[in-house]
Formats: sequence, C-alpha cells, structure tokens
Amino acid sequence: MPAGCRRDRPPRPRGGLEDRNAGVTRFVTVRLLQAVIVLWGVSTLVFAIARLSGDPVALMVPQGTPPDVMARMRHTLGLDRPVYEQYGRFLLGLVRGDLGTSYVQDAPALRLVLQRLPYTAELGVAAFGLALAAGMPLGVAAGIDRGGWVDRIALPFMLIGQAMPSFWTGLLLILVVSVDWHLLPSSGSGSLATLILPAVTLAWLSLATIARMSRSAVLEELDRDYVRTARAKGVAPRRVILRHVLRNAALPIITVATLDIANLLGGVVITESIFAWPGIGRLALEAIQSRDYTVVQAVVLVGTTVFVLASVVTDVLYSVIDPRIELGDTSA
Amino acid sequence: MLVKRIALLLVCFWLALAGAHAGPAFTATALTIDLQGDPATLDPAKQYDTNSYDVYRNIYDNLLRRNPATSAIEGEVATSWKAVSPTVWRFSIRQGLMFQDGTPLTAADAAWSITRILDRQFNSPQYGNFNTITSATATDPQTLTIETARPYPVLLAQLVNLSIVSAKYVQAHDEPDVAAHPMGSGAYRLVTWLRGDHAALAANPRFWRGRPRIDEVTFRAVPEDATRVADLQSGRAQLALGLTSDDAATIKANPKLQLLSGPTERVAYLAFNTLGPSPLRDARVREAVADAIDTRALAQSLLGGYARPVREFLTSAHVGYDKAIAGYKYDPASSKRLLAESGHAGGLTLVFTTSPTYDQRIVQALQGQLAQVGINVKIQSYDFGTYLQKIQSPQHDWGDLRFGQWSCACLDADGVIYPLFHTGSIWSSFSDPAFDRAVDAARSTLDAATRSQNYAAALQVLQKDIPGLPLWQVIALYGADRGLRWRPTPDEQLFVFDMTLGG
Amino acid sequence: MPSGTLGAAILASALIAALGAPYLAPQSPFAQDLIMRLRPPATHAPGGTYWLGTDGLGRDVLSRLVFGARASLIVAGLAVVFSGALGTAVGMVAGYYRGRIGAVLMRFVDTVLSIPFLLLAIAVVAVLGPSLLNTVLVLGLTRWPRYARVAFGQTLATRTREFVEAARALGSRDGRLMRRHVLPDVLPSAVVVATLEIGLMIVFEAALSFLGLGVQPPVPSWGSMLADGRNYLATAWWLATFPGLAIMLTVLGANLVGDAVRDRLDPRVR
Repeated sequence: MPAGCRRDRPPRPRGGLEDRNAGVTRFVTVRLLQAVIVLWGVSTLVFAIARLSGDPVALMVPQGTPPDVMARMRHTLGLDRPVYEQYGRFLLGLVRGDLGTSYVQDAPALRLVLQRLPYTAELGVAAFGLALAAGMPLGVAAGIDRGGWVDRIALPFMLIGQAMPSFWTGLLLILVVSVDWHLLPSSGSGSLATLILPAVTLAWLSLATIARMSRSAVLEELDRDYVRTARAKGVAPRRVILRHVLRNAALPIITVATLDIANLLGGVVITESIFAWPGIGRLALEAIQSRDYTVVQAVVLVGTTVFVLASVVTDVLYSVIDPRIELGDTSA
Repeated sequence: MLVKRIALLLVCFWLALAGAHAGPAFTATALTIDLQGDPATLDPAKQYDTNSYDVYRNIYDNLLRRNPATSAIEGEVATSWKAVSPTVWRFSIRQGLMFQDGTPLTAADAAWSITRILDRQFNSPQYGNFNTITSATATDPQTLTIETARPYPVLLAQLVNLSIVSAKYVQAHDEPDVAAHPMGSGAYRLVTWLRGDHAALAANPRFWRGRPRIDEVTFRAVPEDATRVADLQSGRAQLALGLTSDDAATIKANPKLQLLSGPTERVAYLAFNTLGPSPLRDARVREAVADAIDTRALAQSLLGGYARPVREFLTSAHVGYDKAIAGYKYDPASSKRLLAESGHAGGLTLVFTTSPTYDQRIVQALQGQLAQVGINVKIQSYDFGTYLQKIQSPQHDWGDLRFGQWSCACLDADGVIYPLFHTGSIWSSFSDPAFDRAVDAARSTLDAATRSQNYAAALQVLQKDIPGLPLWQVIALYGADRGLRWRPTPDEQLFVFDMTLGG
Repeated sequence: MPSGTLGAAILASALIAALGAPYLAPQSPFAQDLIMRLRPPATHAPGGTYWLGTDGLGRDVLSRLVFGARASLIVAGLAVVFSGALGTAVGMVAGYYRGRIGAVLMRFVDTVLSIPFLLLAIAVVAVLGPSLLNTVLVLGLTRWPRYARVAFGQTLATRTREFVEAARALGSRDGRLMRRHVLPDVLPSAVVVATLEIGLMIVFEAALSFLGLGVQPPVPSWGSMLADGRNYLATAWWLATFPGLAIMLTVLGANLVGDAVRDRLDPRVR
C-alpha cells in the first residue's frame, strides 16, 4: 500500500508476543469493565421486572389468611419499603456479595443457586459435547460429500431435532428408552445413566446448528484456492480439508458455543422440568412462579456472569486462533 | 473413511447406552415417592406448601391428628384435652416421647412450637391460622395451656397441623440450620436433602408407636405429570402423587401398578363477581349460570367419575355441613329464561379469569356448557402470582367468574365460607350482612349447636344469593406399586408409617 | 426436487391451511362433546367422522389442527418481522457508527441476550396480560439481538469498503448511505437468519404454551395442542402426534427454504 494512503483503522500492533500480550490484557480489562456494567444493567432490569410482577407473600400463605397478616409479613420482609430504598439495599448487597435470603426456602439465595449450578453445568457441558460429537462429523461429512446420502438424508434427519419442541422429544425418549426398553432411569439425577436422556434431549437442539455450521465451513474451504492447488498437485483433499477446515470451523463453532449458553438457560428449563433434573433452570422457573425475587435475581446474575465471562473468553480465543482478527472488531 | 469413523462412533454410543442399566436399588423396605415439587423448607413453621408438609410430617409429630377412617380428631402428642373456659384450653402431653436426639418431648416444646409461630419477626406463613392464640404455656411438664383472644372453635382443627419442634434444638441452631436439618420426634429422620432432587429419610427405631415397617423413604421432586407416571411404570418410584383422571386408565392397565383414590376435603367451585362492574351483579344472571352447568356430566365424563358433585361448599365431613341445602339442578331451559328475563336474551359475554395452576380442561368444559345457553365466555389466564393479585384487588375488577378448589385443611366451615364470602375478605366479591352476622356468630362460640344453626342460616343465604356455585368434592388420585398397602386419607397426609410395601 | 422448492411447498401448504381454515375444517374447533372425548382417529359419529380423533374435550383434532395453523404462523411471522426489523436496525446503527455508540449498543445487546427468556415472558404477560399479540411481543423482544449481531458484523465489513468511504467523503448523508449501500449487504444475512428463526418461533410458541403463557385457550395453536397432548403420548397418541408433525414439517420447510436462500445469496458457497 502506498505510503500516505491511510486506512480508517488503528494500526495493527507490529511487535511480537509482548505487544500482543499487552493488547490482550488491555482488551480483557476493558471487556471486564463493560461486563460489570452489563451485570448492573441486567440486575436492575430483573429487579424492576420482578417487583412489577407481583407479591410473593400472597403465594406463601394459606388460603384463608387475612390481609392484615399478609401486610405484616410484607413489612417484615421489607417489601413495603419504597422502591428506591429496596433498590439501594439490593445494590449494597450486590457489592458485598450478599444477594439476600429466599422468601420461600429460607436460605441465602446465592447459596441456593450455587448449590444447583453444577447440575446445569453438567447437563450443559454434556449436551454441548454430544452435539459437537454428533453434529460436527455429520456436518463435515455432508459438506465433503455434497449431494450424497449424508447430505440428503442423514443430515435432514438429524435436523428434525431442532424442529421438535424439547418437551416432546424428552417425553418420547422417556417413554421409549425408559418405560418400554427399561434401559435408562426415567428421571432424576445422581448417576451417569440419568444424565444421558436429558443431555440427548438438550443436545438435539444444538445439533442442527453445529451440523449446519460445520457443513458451511467445509463448503467454504472446498472453494478455496489452496484446495484447488492441492488437488492439482495430487494431494489427497481429505487430509487438507481436515487440517484446515477444522481450524477455520473452530471460529464459528466457538461463537455458537457462547450464543448457546444464553440459549441453554432457556432450553434447559423445560428439559430440567421434564426430567426432574435439579438444576438452576428449574430453580429459576419455580422462583419466578412463586415470586421469590431474591432467588430470581441471584439466578439471573449468576447466569449473566457466566455468559459474559464466556463472551470475553470467546473473543480472546477468537483473536488467538485467527490473528487476522483484531480485538475490538468482533461483534461480541 | 470418514463414514466408517462415524459409524464406529455411533456403535460405541449405542453400546454405552445399552450397557447402562436402569432401575433403583429395590429392597422390600425402601420406598420412593414422587412429589409434584421440592420442599421449600423442612422447618414446620416456615412454610405452607404441600410438598414440604408431605416430607416433614414424617419427621415431626403433630399435637393432634385425625383418625384415618372417620376424620375425627384424636390425640397424637396430646392425649386428651379440655376447654376449661371458652378461651382457655388444657392439653395433656403424652408421657415418654423422645426427640430423635434422645431428649424428652415435654409441654414446653409444644408451647414453644406455637410461640415461635406467633412471633411476628419470625414471619411464619401459618401465623394467620394461629393468631387467635394469645399465649401457649407449659403449666407443668405434661400439661400445655393455650389461651385464645376469643372463643375459637377451630382451634383443635388447626392444632392438627401443628408440628412439635424441640425448643432446645431450635434455640441452639439458627433458622437456616433448623430448616435444613430438621430434628423431630416422628417416625423418620432426615438423612440427606439434595434441594431440587430428593429428600431421603430413614426409620426412627425408637418411634413411640413402634418401629416403622418401611426402613427408608425417598421423596423425589418431579414436576411433570407424565414423568411421574413414567417413573411408576419404570419402577423408579412406588408411589406418585397428583395424577389426573386420564392417567387412571394407564395405571389400571398396568398389572404392576394400582390406582389409589380417596375423597379429600377440597371442594371445586365457581365464584362470581357480585360487587364489581359485572353482569353477575344481577342475581338472576347468577342463577342462569348455576342452572347451565351440568355438574354430573362434568364429574362423570371429564373426570372419569373421580369427583363427587356437592350441593354446598362443604363436604359431609366438614363441621357446619347442612344436608338440607338443596343445591342446583341442571336446567338449561330455566337458564335461558332467566337470561331473557334479565335482558340478555341476545347473548351475554363473561370474562373467566383463571391460571394454568387450575385444570384448563375443566375451565374450557365450563365454557363449553355456558356456550350452550348463549353465554359467551372469554378465558383470561394469568400466571398464579398475577392471578392472585387480580382477584384479591379491593376494586373487584378481576372479571366475572373464576374457578377454584378450596381447602382449609381444617374440615370446618369457618375455614371455607368465611374467607370465601365474608365482606371484606380478600377472596370475597360478595357482601351480605345476614351472612356476615351468621358466620361471625358461628366462630365466636364453642357450642356446637349454636354453630350448626348459624351455619345453616349462612348456607341458606349462599343458596339463595348464589355468590358462587359449588361443583364437586375432589377425589385425589395416586398411582402406586401393587405391593404398596395404604389407604389415602381425606386430609391428604402422606404418613409413611401407615404404609407397607410387600413383595 | 431441490430441497428449497420442497421447503417452499411445505410452507405454502401450511399457509393454505391457515388461510382456508373455515373451509377446510370439517367442524368447529370449539365444539365440545364430553361423551366423545379422547376418541382415536377415524372414529365415526352422527355428526361426521373424526379423521384425526378427538381431544380431551371431545373437539375434532383435524379441525383444530387446521385452525391452529393460523395462530402458529401468525405468531411466528409477526415475531420474526418485529425482531428482524428491530435487531437489524440496531445492529446497523451500531456497526455504522462504531466507536462509543457501537460499543454501548452492543453491550445493550449483550444485556438483553442475558435476560432469561422465561423471566421476560412471565413479566410481559403479568404486566400486559396474556394474548396472541403479547406472545409476539415476548418472542420479538427476546430474539432481536440475534439479528443485531449479524447486522453489526456485516455492517462493519461493508462500512469500511472504499465506495462507502468515498461516498461519505463526498458528503452523502448517513441515513441515505445506510439505506442504499449498507442495507443491501446486510439484508441477505438478516433474511437467512429470519428464515431459520421462523422455525424457532414456532417451537418457542410451543414452549410458552407448555408454561401456560402462550396463546390462550380455547384458541387452538399447534404449540398449545402439543403441550396439552403431552400427558397422553402413550394413550391418546394422536393428540400430540399430529400437531407435533405439523410443527416439525413446517419448521423443516422453513429451514430448507432458509438454507436454499443462503446458498443462493452467499456468493462464496456454490
């Protein structure tokens, strides 16, 4: 490029590893600060929505309870204070790491969430792993063998999973695999056997996206010059593809993974309800239904933290894997 | 090559699947029960939900109990009692009862169990059930004296639900600890509680009524109805709660399972908005609605016969039940006539406010029946928290009709028609001074005859004014393994001590 | 037949069912008959034949299926249009202006993405009341960030192209630039996302019905029929199977069309 013709972007760091590391550190710091703002925004939104949506006391008491008793209970819980005072208390608690006590379960809200978080994490990781293990090879095969039976028949068959609501697939799996074939437990947690059905149900949703992603990644690669060159030289295209495709496909797959975490908390609620899995999805649903504000806030905060951290990690990985991408240019 | 690899992967996956075996460790003395949800807490005073109660009822003893067959009130921790004055009661506490940590259970523990509920700072949801009590003291180690602010005829019924905690234990541990590590005198003690998943109990060999026949019982939280049924079929659970009448066929068709059913004290009803901006302010319209509902058909066809039509808001087991109440007949012709008389010959639109917590088949069936007489019903469903907020608003602008199932867990008219229809009650969209006088009088005396008379009068007002339509007595359905011997009780208490699990 | 055409044919059938419901359905979707509840497909009755059986209140499943297409397709269509328009707009603005505005907007996108779908659904329904339009609102409000991200990335790439810079240097107004030069580049990606989202919206409508928050009874929708039928999978299997198949086929159709559209619009993939 002729000197003097500047492009409208900041110059890329020219240095070696040191410069790069400095850039990463700065980027991570900036993103973490932004993450704090996101967390604050989300928690405020949830605080407002929760309080707009109703009264937990009415849901806790026996049917005949007189209103003055309920009013008194609300007072003891601090729910009749002006909203800004409750909000102030909430923020103060946030800073101290105290997310309040559950109205329903009479235990610290944060502890309740953290106790059940590992279960959702286990389910999520297993589901994602399954989706990856099944989806990627399938997508790659479909892409390589474009128009072949994998592309025309096997792939669409797998994609059906995304076209079925998860409560349907889950219940069908329970009926067939557990009740009819007696192969796996019908619900609950505690062993590897209980993990399989819920993980498959959840995985089936992500499978389609991963398979599709892998397929397009492969198709893109097949079009590249170096593949044609390799073919002309007589090198087996499969090896070429596998080495390069996988590297290039890694990027979009990582994006899918982070988007999936947000999806996960949504889809996991239904899966956990169907399979009686003790994760935070079900906890969130039950807390919302009983207007247990503190637990709802805690779940959202924990979920958001995980998601935002994952976002930052993704972005860093993004730039590490593909040095052409500048930190700060990505959409996430 | 790639295809081969994929095939290999799938084969491995399949083998792994086939190799993992299902099935719980099933011995003749371990029972797994599927509940509809997780206990909120195992502190008996800190909540009011069935899932918690089902579990901790087996860990603690209550002051009184109901006879499983007759529902008459009997002693449990208390052996006998007497109202020495209209506002003072004396209970004799059973000798020789011990908590699971070996300490004796005395009247002081019983007194403390009540006192802590009455403490406003403690914020017990059960406060409203016991707030007529002004003091509970142990006048001696085996005598509990309770004083009430006014004569309180429902006291005994409420004490049936009072679990006795150890004063020393509760005072020595903080609240979350008591909630998570309950220590009672009951038939079972808590072994583990994995929130959201299960609570495991083990038999208390020193239980005062003898050693429980079932050694271990695990309560699992399974919110989905279809999954509970699947658990029964796959053997993961031997008892499941909250089944519907349509599940009954599945259970009965399975040779390894049995259907257990029992009438409860819950009464399904329709309530009308007589105070708000509603066409139902006109009593003739209310009568038209009452005549348009074919309760028998609903109970038979929709609920498979697992519902007993009632003529009033009480079952025959309730104190205050009056068998002279006539009820309403299914008469669509009369319904249409009344609608014409009240100026709605061209049709009428009513708003039916409800929530997914209620069986929507029933709501829609009611809508269908009302459509037959020209009443167009519009269903508005809110999630339960919002629903309560709406119908409890003092503006009475919640709609026109709502469906509900009422139980006070007290088998007494005072817990049913008072909150449902007394002026000013948050559940009531009705106001009648004669009714108010009658129920107020009935709750201020211990004399059974006076109460009976007053309730008869009150029920007559309800029969005439129709602020609501009583539908049927709910029959609870349970699915169980064929080897389980247990008769469900009307108070729906899950007392594992009364169950046996054979081969 | 190429898969895109097959997909379009499936979608067209669903549309025809929705539009022609009053003529295609043999009975009213609301007519209850408690005596005839839970009858299997091909049950004969004096009023006609229940080709796909009856549901828990004795209503004809086939009629409800045909009418159900309306609610499901309306919800999916409107939700996609709403979220697509909103998200694309936000993403384009963020990508065009970049810098602080871009960062703030994209952080806002992150914030919205982090709110659990469920919480938002219950909140909207609690505050505004349940209805078909509010279901659209809920779905729209939770999905728009997906379009924003795609639009953002695409806009970033387009914006730095020479002709855009040149036009800007020449004094073209931002709005015009965005409309004439950036939008045509962004639109294809947005459309691809939209076609894939249609399927998701139909499935999400079922999820909302499962939680009791979707289309209100007795109005039929495929999602609510499937949710209502889930307790009968082993007994009255027809209650869930037919709406489930309808959902599956329509979603597949939409996805096939989406894939074909992407293949066509993306010049790199031949």
